[in-house]
Amino acid sequence: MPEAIQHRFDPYSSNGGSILAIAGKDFAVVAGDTRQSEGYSIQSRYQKKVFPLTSKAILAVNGFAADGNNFVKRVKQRLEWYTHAHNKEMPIKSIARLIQTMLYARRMFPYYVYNVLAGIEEDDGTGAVYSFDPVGSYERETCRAAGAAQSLLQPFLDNQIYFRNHTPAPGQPPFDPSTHPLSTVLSILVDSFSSATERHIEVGDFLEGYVILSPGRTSDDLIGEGVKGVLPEGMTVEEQDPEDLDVQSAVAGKGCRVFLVRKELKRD
Amino acid sequence: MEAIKLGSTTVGITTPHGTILAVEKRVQSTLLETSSIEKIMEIDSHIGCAMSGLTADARTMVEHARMTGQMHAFTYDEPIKVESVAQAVCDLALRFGESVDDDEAMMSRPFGVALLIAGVDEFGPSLFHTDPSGTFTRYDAKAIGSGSDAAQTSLQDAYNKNMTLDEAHRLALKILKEVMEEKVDENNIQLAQVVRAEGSKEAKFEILSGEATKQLIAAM
Amino acid sequence: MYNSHGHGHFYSRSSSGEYGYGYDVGQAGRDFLNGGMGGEKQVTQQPLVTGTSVLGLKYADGIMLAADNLASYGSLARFKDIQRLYPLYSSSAAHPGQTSQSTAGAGVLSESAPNPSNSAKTESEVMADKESKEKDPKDEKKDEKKAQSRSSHTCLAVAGDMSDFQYLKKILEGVVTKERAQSTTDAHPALAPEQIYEYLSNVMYARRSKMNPLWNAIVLGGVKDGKSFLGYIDLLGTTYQAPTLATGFASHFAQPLLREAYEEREAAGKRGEKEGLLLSREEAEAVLDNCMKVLFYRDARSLNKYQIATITDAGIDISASRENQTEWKFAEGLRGYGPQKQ
Repeated sequence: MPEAIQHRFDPYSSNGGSILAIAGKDFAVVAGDTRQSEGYSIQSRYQKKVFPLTSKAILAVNGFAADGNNFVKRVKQRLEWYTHAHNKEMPIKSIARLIQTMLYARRMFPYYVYNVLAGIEEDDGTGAVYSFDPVGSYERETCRAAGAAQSLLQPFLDNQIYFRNHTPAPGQPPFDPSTHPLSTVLSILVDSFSSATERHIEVGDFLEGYVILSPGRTSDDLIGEGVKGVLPEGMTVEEQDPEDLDVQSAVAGKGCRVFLVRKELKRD
Repeated sequence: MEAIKLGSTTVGITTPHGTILAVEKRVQSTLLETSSIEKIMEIDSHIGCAMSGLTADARTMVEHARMTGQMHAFTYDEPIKVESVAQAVCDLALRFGESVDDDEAMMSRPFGVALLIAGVDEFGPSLFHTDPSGTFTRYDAKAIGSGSDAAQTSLQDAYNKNMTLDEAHRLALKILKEVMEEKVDENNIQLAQVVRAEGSKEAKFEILSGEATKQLIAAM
Repeated sequence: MYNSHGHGHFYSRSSSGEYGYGYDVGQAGRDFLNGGMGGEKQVTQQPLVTGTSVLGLKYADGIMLAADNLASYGSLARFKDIQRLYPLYSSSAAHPGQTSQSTAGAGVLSESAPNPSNSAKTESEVMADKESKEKDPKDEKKDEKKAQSRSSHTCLAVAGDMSDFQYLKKILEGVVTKERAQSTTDAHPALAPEQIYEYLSNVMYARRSKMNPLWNAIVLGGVKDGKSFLGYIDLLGTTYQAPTLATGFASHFAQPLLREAYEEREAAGKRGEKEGLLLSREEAEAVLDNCMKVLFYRDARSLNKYQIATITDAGIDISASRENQTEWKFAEGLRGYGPQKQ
């Protein structure tokens, strides 16, 4: 007879990995590594945690993978219902509020998930990043890192994006975090994940994410001839056909363009 | 359905600058306090409605519309579309008949009121008509109630897509004057408008004051 | 597991400095468990009769799964002829929407289960067989053409509680039967492995969310129209896909061996030393045999009697039970391993 151990079922687990998003003036970048792990075991080297929701909003989820996948599924379902009811694509600011209400609805049995939502704002076309805690507290920010390596990534972003501990040269205007060019943001993205891969065992394998460009913005610094030496080494960029994107866009998005970016990370 | 033909005449007109509503208040007695007749109500800060028919029924519908608007703003952090409000009101209009087992209790009879829902949303000013059948239709200009046949003909003739708000008010007043038995004054009619102020993102619903109404009548 | 982050304030909005927020989801989860929501009567079961780890491997023609024949009762090796490989769904060119047994050639379900009661054929499959035999051969040809691109095969390898496994078999059988009924009336598409996987993960996640999990770890392998699929699902509803999979004990002992074999073969292919990037049938089987041997050596709840399921475009083949040659002589010289001479 098995011993009568007081064994209680724990409905949660933690599956490692990290996600990160940065908003620019007329673009947004959101990415995460593709490693899924439990304890010291790597479960899969390629498991997505960044999901396009609409033609201009993309959600990254991190924490307990089962909750994360289910949450994304539910959000997508709500977006579909909204599109049917109101005959338009849900703006990112509304998606953010929706995510809050959905998370808070489960206040007493939370989704153990950290969400980071990135995309283009409906009214002014600026890049936007919204970050959430598991029970729905949220705010709009310029950048946010979450997940296992948050403590490694965020201080670096604070310094490089928010200019923390930088002082403008005498006579120079104060720094503005929303003015970083796309190439700089991509370099910071890649460097921060390479560093997190070095120092955190749960981060690695691949970096995968999206760049969303505001309507009318040039893509010259992302694809084409001129990007050699501008883009981080080893990074591939692929424009996404909105048709293939599995997103809710009954009414065509007002010309946002979405690009898949990938880069190999170390596997150890 | 025919009941609403007996209601007081109600007119709505859209212009590029906003949407207006005008209703006839039937003053049955000289002893009646006219300000207690309420035929135009606010649904949300950017949407209002005017009614014709059994106005008591309209209270239930407006209550539902207000709730829907607030829930939408709470859940999506954006003002609800005018069309979505019309849809919500019409969903309610069909909940009559026998209820089954554990279904929520239903209403005993259909609503006996028609609404003109006016508002300004991200797609601009608009006007919707809902009737007791649960149908809603969008109009540039629409008249309902007892004088609606004559009024609609007048609208047909006088309406143009580029009216100013003032012209719209004056047209509405002119139509009410044509179909009303007594002389139009600020006590036996009510005017309202939803307007997006110049350079502002938010549209605002307001019922015109007696003073403003009086001036418009005078300028007619 | 989430406690590995440390208690309390592992979430903090550090960047702005002025905004601190501390929250431990784990505690709220525990409050829920404590019956705070009036869930007193809910008792979470614990596994009783259990199967140990299972393996899955992607290879050139499809997927291979492996599981031993033991069902343990605690530390007691209670049942030693249990089949833990479950051929769930087969729709082949010859019999669209029906479990294929009779398609000619290699790679078909063989009659090699450990004993008759554990036959790889389910009752409804036998029925399907009978029906197909009664079919007009002309019809069969027509079907073949129509359904050429509709072959789909899915098989499970299940670890954990065996009664929950039996329950899973029951509900999955129901789903498959419904699908078959549909496919008799119109050109109903075959169930893809991905779809069964999605369904199964929904079941598992729903049960964990009711605090009443099905205590299993499942490796699902399938091939549809030549495309192979390999995925994992467990009692938490956790899912992932990878070319090599191993549950429980095997995730520590066999997974490294599987990955090594898979990656070395891939590298050899890329170097151009071998055709293609994937292991051949013989190679894959040898890798799995080796893994099962290692597991038998080290996993006290394992048995040196196991089966391998081979899922290809042609169908599902469940091997006869087999065993590995083992060598225990080394134990004699080891202190703490068998009788010691002082």
